Amino acid sequence: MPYLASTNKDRAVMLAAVGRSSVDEFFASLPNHGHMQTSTIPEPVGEFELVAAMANLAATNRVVLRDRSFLGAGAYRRFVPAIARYVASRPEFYAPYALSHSEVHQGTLQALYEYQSLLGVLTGMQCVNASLYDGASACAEAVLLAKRVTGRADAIVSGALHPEVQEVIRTYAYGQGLQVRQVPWSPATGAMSAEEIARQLDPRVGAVVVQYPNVFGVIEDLLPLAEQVHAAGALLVVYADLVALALLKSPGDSGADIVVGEAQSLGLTVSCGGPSLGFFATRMDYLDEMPGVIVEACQDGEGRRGFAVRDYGARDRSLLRERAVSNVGTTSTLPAITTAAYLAALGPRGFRRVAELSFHRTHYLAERLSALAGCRVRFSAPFLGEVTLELPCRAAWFADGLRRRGFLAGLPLGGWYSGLDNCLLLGASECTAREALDHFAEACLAQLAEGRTSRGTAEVAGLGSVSL
Amino acid sequence: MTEPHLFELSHVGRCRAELPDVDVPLAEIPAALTRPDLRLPDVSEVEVVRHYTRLARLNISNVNSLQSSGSCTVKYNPIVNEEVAGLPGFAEVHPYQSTEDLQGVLRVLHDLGNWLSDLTGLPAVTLQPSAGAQAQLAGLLMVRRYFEHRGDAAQRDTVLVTTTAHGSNPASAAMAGYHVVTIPQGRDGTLDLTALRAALSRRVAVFMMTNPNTHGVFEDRAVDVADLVHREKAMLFLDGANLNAIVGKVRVADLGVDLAQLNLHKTFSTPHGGNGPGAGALLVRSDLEPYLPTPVVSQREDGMYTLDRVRPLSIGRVRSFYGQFGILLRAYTYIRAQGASGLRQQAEDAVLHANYLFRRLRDVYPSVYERDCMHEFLVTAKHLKTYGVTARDIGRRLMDYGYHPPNVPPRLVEEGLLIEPTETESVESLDAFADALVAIAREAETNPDLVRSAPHTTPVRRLMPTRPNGVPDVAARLAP
Repeated sequence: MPYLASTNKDRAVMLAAVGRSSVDEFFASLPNHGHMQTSTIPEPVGEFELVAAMANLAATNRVVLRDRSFLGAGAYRRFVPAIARYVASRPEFYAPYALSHSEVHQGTLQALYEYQSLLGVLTGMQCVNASLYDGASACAEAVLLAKRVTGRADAIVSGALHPEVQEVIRTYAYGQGLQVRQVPWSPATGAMSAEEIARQLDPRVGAVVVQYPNVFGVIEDLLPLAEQVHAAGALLVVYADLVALALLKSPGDSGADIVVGEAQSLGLTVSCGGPSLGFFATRMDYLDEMPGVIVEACQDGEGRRGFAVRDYGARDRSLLRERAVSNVGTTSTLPAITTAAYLAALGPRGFRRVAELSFHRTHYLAERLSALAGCRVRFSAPFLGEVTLELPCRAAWFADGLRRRGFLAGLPLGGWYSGLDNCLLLGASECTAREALDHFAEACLAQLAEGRTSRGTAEVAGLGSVSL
Repeated sequence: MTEPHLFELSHVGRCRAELPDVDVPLAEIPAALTRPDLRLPDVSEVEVVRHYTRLARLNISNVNSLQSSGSCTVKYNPIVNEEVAGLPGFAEVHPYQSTEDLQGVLRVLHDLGNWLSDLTGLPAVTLQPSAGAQAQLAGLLMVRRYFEHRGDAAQRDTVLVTTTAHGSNPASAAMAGYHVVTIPQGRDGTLDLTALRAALSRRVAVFMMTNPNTHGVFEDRAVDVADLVHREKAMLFLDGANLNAIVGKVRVADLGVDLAQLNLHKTFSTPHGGNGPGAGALLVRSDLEPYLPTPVVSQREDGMYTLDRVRPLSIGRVRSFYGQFGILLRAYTYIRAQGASGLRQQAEDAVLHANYLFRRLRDVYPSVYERDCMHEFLVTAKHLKTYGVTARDIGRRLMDYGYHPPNVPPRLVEEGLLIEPTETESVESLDAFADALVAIAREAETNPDLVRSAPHTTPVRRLMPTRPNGVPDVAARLAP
């Protein structure tokens, strides 16, 4: 019980002061007077034993070195500058309660204002909120915002939007009676089908959601889509990757109305998918329709600049209750501050280099791997930091084989897309130098060769005579 | 002195972060798709470090002093938990790795879920929600699907909440598509059972209750409440934000609760993060289990942990991956350190500390309810209004004494101060806080302007938007 402050003597002093003989008196109205037994919770341990036990438990997970890891698909293991860790590890940032008392939380509030500003630059949008839980729920909130401002209850989502994001949109839509229509992607290019979206755009549609670059790594063409969507009176929601936005035209410049996504890859460890950081950006018209808090520059009576949560009274759930735009309260302040510190540490050239290394190395990797017999880049549209590779075998078998060889080869797409059983989604990054890519390509070659031996004949069928 | 923001600190060429050169042949992005510029701040490493160090000093938190916000449970956050969360075996694993390679992660989720089931008496659990409010939403959607599946969804379109409920309760109910009806509380601070009886009908799907409630009062007729709710075949949802008062003392299932949301960043001490990241757990009775979000962690007969993804009745995911794993891990580590006996002692100390502080203050700040409190208590400063001093003024004056203000409940109670000291404060810390509040009451009588114009010593004083009538300043850009 290392974190309790009172001794038995202290307890006796306090009990005497309140005129009670036992603490049980406070629990008298509980069933059985507050005497219950737990059966599964262990007894207390001290820090020494605790750390040893947790280290042992951590060791039962398998950590693959970053330069042998090509798996992303929405969660990324990127280089984290020491400054980002320094900021995240300071209790002055991780321990404060919340933001409602601005005079004693200026550090956090200013850091959040800076975060909003930095993400405004990347997304090309005028306003950004101070964070949401994760990219998927941020995207669901975007669909709900579109319903509120357009009064239209249907949403169109591209089939090439990350399936877990689609699933969260559907969960949130269920409560609101929203219809979510999924439109197919082009089997040739891997991009969303603009024709199909145009066909579906009717006066019931309030939001169109696409991913940029999409789940297959393909760069969608947003500009013509935005024109179509706006002509139909709907809002364009873009689920964007922030590293890609270091190189790509911002969604704001392409006509997006709302830009959301997951920012974990900017300075947060992957940590099995959480804590995460959902960002939410939009045009000034919808500033006060955004869920969550927004930090605004202010001044005090002496003319000093400060920062405060915007119009806390009017946006606050405690006052608006069922009329509040969202139920969110606790979101992701610390990750947001960490991401801002990451961008500050890398600066414009460093952050751009991260994106360039991902882009050029992923293309090199794609070229190396598509030179292997039976392998090709699956889709014809341009891609950026991830690519969909088609293999001459089941991708799940291939990835498992490479796992045994010490690699995280990528994500087999068959679990999400029934026609893509032979496809693997993978990407290179600033952590995978050319040598690491060559080494990986050799391992892929060996794995395919194994598929042609007796053990794997069922896996790489019909390729027996082809030389790799 | 005003701290410049990052965009003001920027000078072209200052940031020297060195990343590797591109070591592969250059690929080409179609020119129409590339951005013209990337106008991020350009700041030297030492200035970035000093900037954040200066900002850190402008915050107060539980590493400085008692944080008195009621119903928020701002206790000490064990530093060792941060170290554990940073172990590469936890921090460097990818959610899409094979479950065979994530056994430690799944064991943490599995055991933590079991422990919370043990503590609440509710057998089924999801740890996927990112915070308490998301757990509420998930629970309400599950109930909606449950009734729909049983064929009476159209009828049950109402959620009852209490006036003392946190604002997230009605907001979550509205997001889940329900009408919201609010039940008042009686003069003794507990729920008005007559009003509840009148509001209950076959249209009600869920009654959401917080216990102890957000005025620090234990709803001692909870079992009667549950009977009334169950008579209409509706469900009793517990907002477990105040579990710190009763953890290890009573299983909420024994109070007739059907489903409960717990805020792990409160009771189980994961840091608040300045408003996140948190984590929400949702515990439900067994017949709601099929509706839990996917995936669910389970253990096979051979001892291996797996993810159960095929759940046809599930409401689906509420977020990506498996929840806030790093936060759940901190809660797991905390429970292992405290142990079963420590959790029980934690609730007892939290309640004893609150009653002690309550006693120290009630001669100066009258109590709102004439009864013992649980882990927090509500007093009033309405007698100081004769001097023109409000509860919020007192909270701001506390900042000058180095404290975070108590909560001021927005409705219901005139000039209320809701105070929750938690079990991690020593008796001297409680005394010092009481002394500060007593001194402020005296100041309010002798020098009310001092209190009305507080705070005086904080980095900034009361703030107003810089552009109250123009376009709000919510973002900076680099000067052209």
